Amino acid sequence: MINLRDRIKLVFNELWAEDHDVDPPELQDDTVLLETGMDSMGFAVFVTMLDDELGYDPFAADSEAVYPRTFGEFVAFYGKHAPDE
Amino acid sequence: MSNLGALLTSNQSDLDNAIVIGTAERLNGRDLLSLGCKLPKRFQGSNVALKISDPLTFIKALFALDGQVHSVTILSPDLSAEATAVVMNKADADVLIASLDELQGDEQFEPVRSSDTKWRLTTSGTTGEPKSVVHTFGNLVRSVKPPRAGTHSPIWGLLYDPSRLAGLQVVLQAIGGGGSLILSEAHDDIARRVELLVRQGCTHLSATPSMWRKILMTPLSDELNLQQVTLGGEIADDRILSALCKRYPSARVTHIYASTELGVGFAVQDGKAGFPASYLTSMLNGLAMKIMEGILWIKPSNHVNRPSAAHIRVDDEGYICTEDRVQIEDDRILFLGREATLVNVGGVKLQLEVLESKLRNHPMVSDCAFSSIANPILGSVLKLEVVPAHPVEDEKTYKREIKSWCRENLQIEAVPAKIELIKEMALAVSGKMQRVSKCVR
Repeated sequence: MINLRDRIKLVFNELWAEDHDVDPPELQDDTVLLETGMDSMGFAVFVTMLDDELGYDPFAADSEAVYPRTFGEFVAFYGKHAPDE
Repeated sequence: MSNLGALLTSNQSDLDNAIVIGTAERLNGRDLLSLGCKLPKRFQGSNVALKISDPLTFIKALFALDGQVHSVTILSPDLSAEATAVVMNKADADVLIASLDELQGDEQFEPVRSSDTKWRLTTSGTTGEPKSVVHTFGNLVRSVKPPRAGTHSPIWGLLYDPSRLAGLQVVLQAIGGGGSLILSEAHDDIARRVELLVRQGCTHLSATPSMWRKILMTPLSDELNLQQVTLGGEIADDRILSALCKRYPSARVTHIYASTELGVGFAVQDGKAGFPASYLTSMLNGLAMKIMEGILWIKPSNHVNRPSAAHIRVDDEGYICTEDRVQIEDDRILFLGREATLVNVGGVKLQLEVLESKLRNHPMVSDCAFSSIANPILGSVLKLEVVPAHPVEDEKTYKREIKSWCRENLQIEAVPAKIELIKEMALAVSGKMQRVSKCVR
């Protein structure tokens, strides 16, 4: 089974392809999300797609307002709230 | 016109003709008029609430009560017990009638048609608790057209729940217009109901634009021989109006503007969306209109007939807020949607009905509904439910095409974050489209 990081990447790439003709950026742990070329509308859609793909929305689950800045933080945030399997 | 009995006797030419045609029973004028004579005395002057799902029973109960009781509160059959109690309490209603058995008794009396029974109608109540509005009979029949000499009696089909304003209008128009009324079973699917209407020779039909879209998708709808096509309850856009004009070339296509708050508003018959801007300056059907901050306000002319309820916003000049957002385009006033369906996505205000109307132009889309879902980044984003026009082979490709079309033809904020393909649009009891709003948080 592919890991969480790769599942998130796949969804990102799928969304990217809808709106861009060029290849998606390589997502590293220190990649700053807002510098990937995806705007806030894109991220809003991204989170909705992840909710469908993963079955949960960590932003809704977390009582504090969390704003992951890098891709590494983003994946860790999703990992923290992943439901026990 | 002060009550149902008077409406019937003055407009029906032959009291032996069948007026109400149910699936199991037909009622002529005499049958209907005799109902008021059988009401037990204990109901005289009382405040009664009706909650009846069978349209024939409902109409019988109306004839039995109108002019005899002080007020009739008409409740939607699907109203919860809790909401029923709230509305009844507000209306001082002490009796709830769910079947005709409850209107029988030994202590009958010779009826005196007091003629001033108040009719209390409830709004669809799609948001929050249902609100109720008191109307006089005169207000409800203001737009009823008496029969015209030399024309065939209209045969109306009832697709609406008669406990709602739109359905009640059809009942009153059929009776007061010298015609008859075909009842169908609400739980039957649209194809079966259309089949019944074809079989009974329906000539006049009223439905919401959402219902009409479903009717047009029913093959048997070709066989309806309609002289009158009426739309109401939702925005009638150019697309549905022209589709109906094309399918029923000999019909007059009318879209009605009405609301539970206002009662009957006005009708537009030129086959175009919206209404002429000249309506704002000339009194129409006794109504004065104005636009304030993009919202339509309407003032009924006759103060006596003005509906009353606590939730209605009325300004100093007596104009009632319709909560409908409108836009002036050249010499036309176009409806954009309800105040409540204006959604804010990332600071951009989107009117869901406008988006739906545009997307319905897509050749691969038969019908669609936008709703808002909570989103941690932008507050909310849009979800789209779409009924494909043709069978879809690859769902992913279809969704991508729809998204790409939205990106090119709508604001970027209106591009749906989520798309669901559905077989058919869910309609509420009111016949209006049911927007599914899922709260993510």
